[in-house]
Amino acid sequence: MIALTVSDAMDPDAVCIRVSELMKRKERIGFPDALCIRNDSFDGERFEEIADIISKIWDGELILETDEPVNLPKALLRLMGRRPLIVGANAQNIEQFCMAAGMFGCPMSVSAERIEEVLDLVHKASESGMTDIAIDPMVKNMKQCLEVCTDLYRLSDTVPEAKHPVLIRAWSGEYAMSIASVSLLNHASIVLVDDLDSDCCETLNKLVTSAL
Amino acid sequence: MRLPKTSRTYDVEAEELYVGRGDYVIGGARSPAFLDLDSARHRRPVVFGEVFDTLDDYPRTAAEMFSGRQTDPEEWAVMWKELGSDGVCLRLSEKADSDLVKMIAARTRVPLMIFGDTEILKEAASEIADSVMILGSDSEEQSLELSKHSNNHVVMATCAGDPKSLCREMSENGAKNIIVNLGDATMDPSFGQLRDRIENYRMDGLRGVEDSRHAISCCVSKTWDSYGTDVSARKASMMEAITALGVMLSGADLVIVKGPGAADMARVYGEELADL
Repeated sequence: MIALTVSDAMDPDAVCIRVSELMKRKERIGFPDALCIRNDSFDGERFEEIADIISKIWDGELILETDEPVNLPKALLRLMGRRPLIVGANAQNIEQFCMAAGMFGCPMSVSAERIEEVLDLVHKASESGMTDIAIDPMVKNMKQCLEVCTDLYRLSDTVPEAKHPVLIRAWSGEYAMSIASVSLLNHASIVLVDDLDSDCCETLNKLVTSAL
Repeated sequence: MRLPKTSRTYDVEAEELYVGRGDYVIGGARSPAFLDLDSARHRRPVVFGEVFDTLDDYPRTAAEMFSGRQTDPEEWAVMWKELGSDGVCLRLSEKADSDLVKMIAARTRVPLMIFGDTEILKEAASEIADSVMILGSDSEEQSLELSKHSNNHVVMATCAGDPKSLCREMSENGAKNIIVNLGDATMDPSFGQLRDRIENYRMDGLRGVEDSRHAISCCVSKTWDSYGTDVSARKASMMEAITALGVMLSGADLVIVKGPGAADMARVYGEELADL
């Protein structure tokens, strides 16, 4: 799954324009699969407002990303029945994220820079009753992406915590397209991209339909 | 959490090929492509740019990327060198002769790979002694025939099936150095199968399976054909570069590209992944 980000720091009109442009792109080339609503404003009301707008015009998969777990419940209420993936849990806030994800029955991802740490977080989330968990190993470049995705894939043979889908972030532009390609060719399931133009989306779509 | 070790070691290393005037090394993998987890050799795949001696059927958008120098094969090859390409892949028509190969080899001094009529390739192989070329082939028959006349040049083993028996036969015919071609890459459902073939061949080699240790070549320039004639150079170059990335991640040691944009991206990808 490839998701493009829509920031809640954007003006609501601009959000509508961006989402409708992405809908046309999805119709034309089948991409993106999902939208990620990112809480750049750190404002709970704004996050809720943008989640509400997007839920009414976008019928594909949704992701909610925030560093502030307190902003989650109201936004999640606007997405009832959509089961968005919740992104942003780390060692500092995992309990609150598990609570919100558990309450709304949503999948969640956990993020840490070291594999041991991220798998510890998966373990913690599992102990809280979560089953749908994605692993975000916070890779910074193509090389790290290859090494970490391969390591996690091999670990998944023997370590139950590593059996979950892997989420890779890939920022924007042509370099994002290369990280996304390395991720998808190396067992990652979810790629979160800040922005990609239409040509890059089309290239990735061809790669996904040809190689996977 | 204490985690089990995931690094792996392999019985043997892939074969190294010295091409050009001995100053370029291809192959030598000792792990799956680029994988430091398995102590990868920090060497990137080499990138060869295509040159044709005729522009019939050559995409207009690609031709425009060479600023008019594509009308003269010698100039075109020099341009590839100026662009930082590791080598030139010369595709000769039936009207060509070995003099063109000699001129380009002398002027560019980069490694050459040549495709064309068997007789022309045999002639070039016998006349050029100061540079190790790669004699490209389009079929098993041509691979076998060129093996008999390869001199010290590298011969390409091109086959659609398992290349091991072909490589064995080529060695028996006299080929001292072999590079394997497991198929051209295009962005269609065959791409996944090609990646598997490359990966399996590389893994067989690392496990010590006989006749599986040769370097692997893959042409990605046919990705241009999947578009019509009016494709933008950017779009076609990105597709070509991502295709190159895909085959390099599977284990290709040499990629042949059509456009300078893709050549540049493939080289940068290779450098980053090989941690150079």
